[in-house]
Amino acid sequence: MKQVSTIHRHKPPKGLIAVYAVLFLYCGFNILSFLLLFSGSLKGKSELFSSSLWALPQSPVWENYIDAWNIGKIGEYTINSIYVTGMTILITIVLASMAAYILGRINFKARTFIMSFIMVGMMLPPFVIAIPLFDILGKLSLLNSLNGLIIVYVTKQLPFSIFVLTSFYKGIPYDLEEAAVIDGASPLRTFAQIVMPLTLPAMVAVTINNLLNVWNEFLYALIFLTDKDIYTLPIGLFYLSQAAEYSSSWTILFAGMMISIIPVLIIFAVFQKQFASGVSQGAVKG
Amino acid sequence: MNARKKLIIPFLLPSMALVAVFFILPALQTIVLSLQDWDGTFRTTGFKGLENYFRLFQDQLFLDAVGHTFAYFVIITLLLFPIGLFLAVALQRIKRYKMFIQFCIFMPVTLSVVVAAVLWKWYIYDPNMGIINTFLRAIGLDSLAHPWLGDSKTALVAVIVMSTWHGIATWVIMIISGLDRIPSELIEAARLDGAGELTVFFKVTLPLLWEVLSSLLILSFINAMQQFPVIFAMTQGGPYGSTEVMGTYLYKIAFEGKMFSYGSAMAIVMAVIVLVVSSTGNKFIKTETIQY
Repeated sequence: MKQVSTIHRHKPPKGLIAVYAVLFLYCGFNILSFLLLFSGSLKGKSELFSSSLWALPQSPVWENYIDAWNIGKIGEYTINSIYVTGMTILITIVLASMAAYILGRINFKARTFIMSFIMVGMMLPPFVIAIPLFDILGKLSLLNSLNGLIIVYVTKQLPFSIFVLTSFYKGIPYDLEEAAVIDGASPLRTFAQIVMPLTLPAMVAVTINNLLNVWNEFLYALIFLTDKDIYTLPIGLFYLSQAAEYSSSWTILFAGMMISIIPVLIIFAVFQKQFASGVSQGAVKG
Repeated sequence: MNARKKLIIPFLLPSMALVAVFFILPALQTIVLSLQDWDGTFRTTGFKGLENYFRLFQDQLFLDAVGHTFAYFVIITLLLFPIGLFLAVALQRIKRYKMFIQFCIFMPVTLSVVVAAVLWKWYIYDPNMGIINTFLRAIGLDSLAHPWLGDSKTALVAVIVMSTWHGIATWVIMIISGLDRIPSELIEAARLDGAGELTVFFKVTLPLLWEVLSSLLILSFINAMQQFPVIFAMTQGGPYGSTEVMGTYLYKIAFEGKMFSYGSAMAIVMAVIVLVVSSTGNKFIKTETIQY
């Protein structure tokens, strides 16, 4: 690797320096906005307005984070979000793997129909189901409930997940599976212990995309959750930001935003590649 | 292998049942609702025909929202494509600091729209302290400093710029995956023929990216038609309705105004626009795809 870079250094391609300059400017802007948010989240309530945006906090007010967690209810919202996101990605990956195994590896008459039946969900805007869904969830006592939201989210993420996993299942060679059957393994065991583990890279790619989508989902949570105690983070932060306009509790809001950013940012840093492969495989998804 | 067929029904049933009850059923109900009269708490099952749809085309607020939605599509497309292409090509060419730069560019995608909206509202667009106006004042262009979100002339563009920043990762990833599929011999052959970097890009790379770029165009259209969270979190349609799009107007009609039937008609119009454009678009791409 070192050799390659020394060769490159001998004749730096024209314009590459300019490209780097633009990229670093872009990155600098992104990092700067995060750092400013972090700095703002550590300022005192009056200091935020009296000091410049660019000034560092005089002495970091870590209490903002405690206040956000307790008074701003970010603690509750975080736990709600973790529960909703965790359950959704778990249920989705199990159901999607089962469906994709059938759709990707078994030939049967209704296959094409079932595929398009499931895929309709990838094409239509969420608004097209939101109004009656409000009614359906109400009748099932799933309105204003985190479990109701989980069901809606699983349904929302299934088409994309099945789509990506099905193409992956299609590509797995059949010999392993046949060997397992000859050895007398039941179909269920063959699936769970032989074939499904081979799809791990695709499962990770799908799950990281589902995680980001669900953790940040806004519209359904806004419509289906009205009880303050069960808000997820995006909705909780939204109402906190509405309230901040009047009560100037901005520092609490900023601390709450940091709390919501950090966990996904870390997960994203680790799974960046898998995220990219999920996006490029599920291109049609809106 | 026939034993596996026993799995078909139990393995497909859960997913199909969920899609049927929580997607297909409500979608069909929306059609029915749009032909009825359910406004507020009072629900009649009486058939109202296409009245809700006729009302849409006389509703100036809705027509304005449709106009803003199409403006949103045009402007965000004009931003996403050049920026996405530049970042994708640049990321493909560089070797040093690549992972770090890529992480910084993709980072915004991890933010919920609410977080991104507050971040931009407060730190970037704020008339007094925001990065943009601070920068403009620092270089002596005080006259250009502006309440970006508070002025109905600039609010929509300001929201779109934020949305571009937030969603650019998908574009860059898709274009990179398209670039990776271009056989490198084609690019090298053009270079050997003495073509410069820009000529190679415009004459060889860009035409070969046609398939990816046109599906991104459709994606951009679908996203724009159903846009809601970015605008709702940032301006809620204001100031003076200048950023009201179909999604935010529909939300206000159906969920704040409880006019469920009228809102349903709007949702159906939105779905029809999305379906017609994406299906004709997809057919067009398939027939036009260049073979190489």
